[in-house]
Amino acid sequence: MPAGREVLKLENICKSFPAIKALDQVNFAVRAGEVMGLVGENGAGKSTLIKVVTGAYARDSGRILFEGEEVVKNSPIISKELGIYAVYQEVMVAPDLSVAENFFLGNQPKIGPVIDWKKMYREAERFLEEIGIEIDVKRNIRELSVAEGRMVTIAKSLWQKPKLVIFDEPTAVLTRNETRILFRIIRDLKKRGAAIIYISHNLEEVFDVCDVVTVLKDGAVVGSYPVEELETVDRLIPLMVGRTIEEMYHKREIKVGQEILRVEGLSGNKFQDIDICVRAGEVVGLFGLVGAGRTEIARAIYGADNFDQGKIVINGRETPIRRPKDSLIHGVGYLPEDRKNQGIFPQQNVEFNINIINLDKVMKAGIINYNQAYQQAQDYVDKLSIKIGSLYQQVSELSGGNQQKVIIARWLCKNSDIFIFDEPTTGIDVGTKAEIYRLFGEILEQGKGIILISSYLPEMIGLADRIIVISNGKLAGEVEKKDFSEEHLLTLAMKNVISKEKFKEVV
Amino acid sequence: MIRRNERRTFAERNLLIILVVMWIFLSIATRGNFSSWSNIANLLRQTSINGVVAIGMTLIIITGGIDLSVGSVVGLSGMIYALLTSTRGEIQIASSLAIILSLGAAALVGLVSGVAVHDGKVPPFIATLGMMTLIRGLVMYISTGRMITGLPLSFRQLAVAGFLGLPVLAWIWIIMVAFMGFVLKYTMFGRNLYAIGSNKEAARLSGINIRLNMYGFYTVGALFSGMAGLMLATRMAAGVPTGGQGYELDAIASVVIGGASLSGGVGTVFGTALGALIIQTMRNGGNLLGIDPFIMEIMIGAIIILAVFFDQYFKGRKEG
Amino acid sequence: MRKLIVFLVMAFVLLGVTFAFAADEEPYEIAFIVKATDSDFWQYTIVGARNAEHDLKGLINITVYGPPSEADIDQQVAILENVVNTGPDAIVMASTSSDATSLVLDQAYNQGIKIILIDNIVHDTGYHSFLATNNRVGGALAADMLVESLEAAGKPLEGKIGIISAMAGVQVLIDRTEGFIERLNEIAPEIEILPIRYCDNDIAVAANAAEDMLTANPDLLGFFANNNHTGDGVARVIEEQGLQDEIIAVAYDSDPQEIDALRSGALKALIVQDPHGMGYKGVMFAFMAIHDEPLPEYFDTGVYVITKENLDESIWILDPFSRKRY
Repeated sequence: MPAGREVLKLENICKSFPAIKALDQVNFAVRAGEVMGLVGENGAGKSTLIKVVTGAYARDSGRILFEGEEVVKNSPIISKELGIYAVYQEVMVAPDLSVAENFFLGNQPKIGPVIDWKKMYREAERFLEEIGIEIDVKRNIRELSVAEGRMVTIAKSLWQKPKLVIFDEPTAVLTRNETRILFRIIRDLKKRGAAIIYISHNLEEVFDVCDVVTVLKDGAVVGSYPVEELETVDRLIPLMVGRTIEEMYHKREIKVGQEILRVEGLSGNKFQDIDICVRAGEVVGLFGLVGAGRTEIARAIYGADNFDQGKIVINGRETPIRRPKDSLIHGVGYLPEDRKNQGIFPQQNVEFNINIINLDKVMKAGIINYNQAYQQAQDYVDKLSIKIGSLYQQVSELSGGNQQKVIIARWLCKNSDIFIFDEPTTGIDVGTKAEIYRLFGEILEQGKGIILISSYLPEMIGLADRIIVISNGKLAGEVEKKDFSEEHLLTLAMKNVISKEKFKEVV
Repeated sequence: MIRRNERRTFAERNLLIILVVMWIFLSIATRGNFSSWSNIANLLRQTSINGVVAIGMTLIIITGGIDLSVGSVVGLSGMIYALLTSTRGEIQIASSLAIILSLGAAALVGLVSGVAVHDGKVPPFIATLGMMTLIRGLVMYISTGRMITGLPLSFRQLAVAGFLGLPVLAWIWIIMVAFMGFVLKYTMFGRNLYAIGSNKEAARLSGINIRLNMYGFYTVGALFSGMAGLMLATRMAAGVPTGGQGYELDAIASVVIGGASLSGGVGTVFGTALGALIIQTMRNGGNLLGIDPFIMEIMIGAIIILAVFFDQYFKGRKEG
Repeated sequence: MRKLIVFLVMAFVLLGVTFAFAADEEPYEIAFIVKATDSDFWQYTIVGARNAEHDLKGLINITVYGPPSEADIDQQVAILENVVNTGPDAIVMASTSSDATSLVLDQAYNQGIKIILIDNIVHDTGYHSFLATNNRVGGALAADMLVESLEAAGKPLEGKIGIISAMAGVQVLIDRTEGFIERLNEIAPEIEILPIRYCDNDIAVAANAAEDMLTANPDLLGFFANNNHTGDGVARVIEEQGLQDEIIAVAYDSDPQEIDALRSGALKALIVQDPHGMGYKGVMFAFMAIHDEPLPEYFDTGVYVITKENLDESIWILDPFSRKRY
């Protein structure tokens, strides 16, 4: 396809968050009638980049050129007016309005001051028919299935005749047939001269639909490559991950001891037949793509969710785990991924947050001894060098890293045998990350075991002794330390995701 | 080293100051009438009933809920007591047994609300709104809408009785404030309350039994309303079918002035007690000064809004 | 599911037809709407109404309606609307508000429903008769009794009097209070009347107000409480503080607690209406209106003064339950 004029051009875009450089001198251009794939690891900066383009985030420096003209001030409203349309992972339409209303939102056809419903429904129906989607335009979005809602969101992209469309993981919840329609819509958009940015973890898909692939890594562009030049997916992966493991993860040698946790044949809502074994002094990684079922497995082991089948053996004894209380008693600790909603008690102070599961040690006859309680909390604040104003400070006032440390302090104090860390370093600055890694060493030295869930491969490879790879809810393989490589792990993680037939059918 | 410069909430720190300023002003304005011992005793007794209701309300508001049924529960327990003991009625049982049964009925109402909120997933506002109407209807029904008099003399005298210079009703309130203040701070019950109120999911993951605790909060909350109902019955020397009507509003106002957050997790019994005292001080002072009662209502309304406004304002400044 | 709905519809149709046929044989329907079901006063009017129903032996059928509390003006309007929809032959109504119900009442009047107002007048509506206590006269009588009791206690007619009103904005209460103030200014001009305190018809709040007025005014001579709940509150405070001899209190209306207070001396006099008579005559007037008998536009049901002395012979008026005939 001959490349048209440049619709969007980014020049030296930079964006930092406290302690993290999310985008570093990003340059690229998308042309009319071109589909550009944007790939990179989790946390490479894809989402941030999209948010800068749509104006949801303000850039720190750099220029955005849209159709040759510089966009000085940007906001979601301005970018929409320019003709930029983003399809996010979530359903981005008004849930309580009908399909037709969502298309016409803001410029409904009217007879005088009254909305012309008939015309609205008629036109919406004709439009959907054209692109081959069968959905009753009178129904509210809320009544539709998730996939149908997504299709409406995608169809709306075509409806609005945008100049640039951004798809962020569009196929995650689509069926094969719907994916086929999506691809047809994308080709339609191309024909009409729109520029398209297509983000997906599914590299085969990217290969299939894109003209050019831009690889993003640690907030910087590794390069842009025409698909024909790349030839195969395998060539792309090293570009995405090619980095040495940093010094950060230096680990002391710890003697691996007896088995302390064994999970056998665990099956639940989003995972089937999972076996995991953790021995004293070892970190077992649980790796998989987002949505592969890692968190669900961890929650089931901890008793936060129910599981259908399987058994959990702790210290050699089969242990029934039905609720968090059970695992607390049997020495399993869980540090949830969603710190804000599942970890901290935001309005309560540091002492409260550390002692919430450790009050038994400072209570006598059912009454809390506050001298001991504060001493206990202070001990762990010192041990983990948590930066706080005082123990009376509300935990919501602390930085993300210090909040995470408070939660780790909670579990260290509990003295559990097994720690399940679910994405322990998301949103945490590099310095604190290193401290958290150091704590891992301390935990292991005490003969405890760790299950680590992380989407950040360097972290995983640096910390884990063994990595269990989950793909689409099933075991995809167990990798020993000597065989660790990002390529190998990613390939395993995608094992059950890619079905080549899917795309052959589509084409 | 433990740093123990305990940070009191805005409410606790400043309400005390506001209260003292109000008291000084009123003492001067009423030429000492306000600060006379008998008026202080009156003030405390007048506060006591709403004060006790508000303790229960504090629990519910810390869970992030609200209890609109407290007024009806006040009416219910007073009426049950009156019906069971009235010398003019058909049944007469021992006063102590009647007290237990009245409180039991109140607790049962709370338990039902708790089940509706936790298991039925009915929003607390709706669940207790329903209970408010339901229980009021029940009170009307069992009393046939009539005032029940002829309560035992010993019970009626409670309203008048004093101890160490203060009315017994005031003592009940003060002791309950101290007791619940202690329970919320020093026991697992209290810790669980704040934990569940500030983050239910985190509380569950910390091994707290949400169901049992929620039942407990609503039951204990209603128990306080039941206690207030008995206090109202002795004050009125009768079971009155409309007794306690509208009490939820004063109770909520007291809790909110006292620094609790309607989104849960924040609030203290002591703050609530100060809030209740401020409201009643305004009413009492207004009566003493002969201020137009309608102007009084305007002022009380303004105080409620101002209290929350300043709370937010100082919080915002601290964070900003 | 559909079968069930069809069945239910059939059942209700049948039920309706049954009622419709039965109605042919029915006596005149008279709706009796009171201000509140929670008060003894209105229970007494209901006894009167039921006695009238009993005396008319099957010629009429009374249905009693009322909101739980006098504060529920809007609920009473809603009740009235529903009653009018059922199309009774006559409505006997004690309207809490003098204005809120006028539209609906006038509409009912124009539909040919006979309207008998009791206790409280309603403006801007047609009606067949209005039976009430002249509350201004009652208020004046309360002032007379207060002054008489002050004199009997050997107190000078100088000092302050507190008025506790059950609620703001209720015409009957306003009339009582104004009648009281007018007469007191006339016969004891040296007595200062303190600003009125309102108490939402809550006994405890009335007691609080009385307590505070006592605290604020050492030269307080007495109280006028303009209904039974305020009377209960005032009496409670006087009893609690043992001020039976110092504070002269007069109250309107009666309930068991006020009568106890009268006996104990906490209240010196009660101004009572004749609720039984009001209910009884109201229903009788409605019956007459149905038969197009001429009726007086206004009928004074009278007020009575009850003191400790005449208490025993006044039981017939104080406790109409003793006169229940049904």
